[in-house]
Amino acid sequence: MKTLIDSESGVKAFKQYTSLYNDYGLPTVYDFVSRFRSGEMPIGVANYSTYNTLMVSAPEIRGLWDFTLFPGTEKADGTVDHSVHAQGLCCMMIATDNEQVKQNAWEFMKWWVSADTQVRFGREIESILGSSARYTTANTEALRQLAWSADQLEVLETQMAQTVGFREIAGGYSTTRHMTNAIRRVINSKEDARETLLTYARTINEEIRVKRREFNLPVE
Amino acid sequence: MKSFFGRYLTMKREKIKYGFHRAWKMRTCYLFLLPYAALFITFFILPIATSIYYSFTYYNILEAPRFVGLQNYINLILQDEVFLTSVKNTFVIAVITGPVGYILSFLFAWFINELPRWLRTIAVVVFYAPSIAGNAFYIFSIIFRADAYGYLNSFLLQFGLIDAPLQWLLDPKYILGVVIVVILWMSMGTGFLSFVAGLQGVDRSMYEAGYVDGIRNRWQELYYITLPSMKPMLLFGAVMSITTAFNVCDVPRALAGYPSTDYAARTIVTHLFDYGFSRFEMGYASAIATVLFLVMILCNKVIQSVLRKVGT
Repeated sequence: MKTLIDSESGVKAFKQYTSLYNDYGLPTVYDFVSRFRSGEMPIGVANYSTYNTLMVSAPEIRGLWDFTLFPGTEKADGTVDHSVHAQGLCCMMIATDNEQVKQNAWEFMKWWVSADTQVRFGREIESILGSSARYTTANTEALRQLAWSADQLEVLETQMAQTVGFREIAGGYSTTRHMTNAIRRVINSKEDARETLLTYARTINEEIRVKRREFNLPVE
Repeated sequence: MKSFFGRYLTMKREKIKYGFHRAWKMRTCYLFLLPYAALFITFFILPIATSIYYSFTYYNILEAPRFVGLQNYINLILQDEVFLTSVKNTFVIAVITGPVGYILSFLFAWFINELPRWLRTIAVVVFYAPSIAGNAFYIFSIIFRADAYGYLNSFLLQFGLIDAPLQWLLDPKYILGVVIVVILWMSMGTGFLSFVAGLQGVDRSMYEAGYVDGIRNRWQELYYITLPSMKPMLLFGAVMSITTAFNVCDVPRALAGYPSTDYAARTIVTHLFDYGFSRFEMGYASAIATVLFLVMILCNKVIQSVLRKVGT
């Protein structure tokens, strides 16, 4: 089990990503909401919950802006690939021997993630805290019933159909950790992208191997 | 030979019986000690003993601990390169902020000793405020933000000293320096207060006797009279600064992020956090804690034996 970050496509993507900062000088740390309001950053990529923050905190630009799909890359057959990665949360149950406790916990989990409960929770929290607290639910049916307008909902659903989730494996935390180290090293010390990525990929693979051995999973 | 052992054992038995008899006679004294002893045992002795026990096991919280002997210690010392980085960082921080902070506290306490009382009170509040202000060091994460609009970056950009915003807390070159500066800012703690109090309590007549005996300037007066009179305060301040310097964890974690880039601001306690709270390897984390405990006891003994000789 190894990381795929050092495959050819991974290295190519890494080079393209760091060239945005090294060759074109994009800012690395910035507060998107403030810069969007002042007009310094007329276009940007952010979580869709930033929409709610901006709607509430920037009334002076109301009606002058909107959000759309993520900028994509053109594929070989002419269509545009808008894939983006999404983070999600989930419920987990740890099994004990008590059958009654297990049954109750399962019923609770089914109730909590059902569309009706999520819609009710989202509507109540929005009515109390205002539209800046619009609930980013993971239940797609519930998302349809929250307070999004029809064309916003179309954008959200098209984008959601093209999101990709990452598989978590034992030791997966070391991938994000060392990827961030690699990115910062290339941007700050201007080192070579491929060399840095291959060096850190070795560290990531070692950590994954240690963790898989700890949990008696197959290492190959 | 046998009779010698017999008499030795009888003597020991008699001594123990006599000891119990005396303890029983003074049983109310032990009763007075009971509240403090109960709290001390529950919150100090018991956690240390549990940690030492867990350091010999493999324990993730979901399963029962499994005895592995010295494997945690062997991995820690021989195989973990991040631990060596963390030890180096902790020692750099401790060596720079420990003595420097200690000397700074003493110097500032000595400087403001001569002021009238109301001015001295204001100065003490100003110097002690960073320690009691809770998490006020978070303001430094805004000052040192890598944004072009962060306070330090915009100041330097405006005066033309740099031409692109520097990543103060994200670039391994700068992280440790920034963390050391912030810890020094926070280092005027309880040691400083004890110095201010101690300097007030030095006997004035000793200074006069010293002037008669030939002490000519302030430095001689400091070394021969002030410092020896303040020996208990010096020991207390040293113990406090050693303990806090080894335990430094909140400031690097809040400023440099968790984990810091390339482990540049990793200290022993943040390493412990990583293994304990992110990777849930409690046995390994307990081994780190036990090693830190032993190192701190050793350093305390060394510092105290050095400080006993001051002024003589």
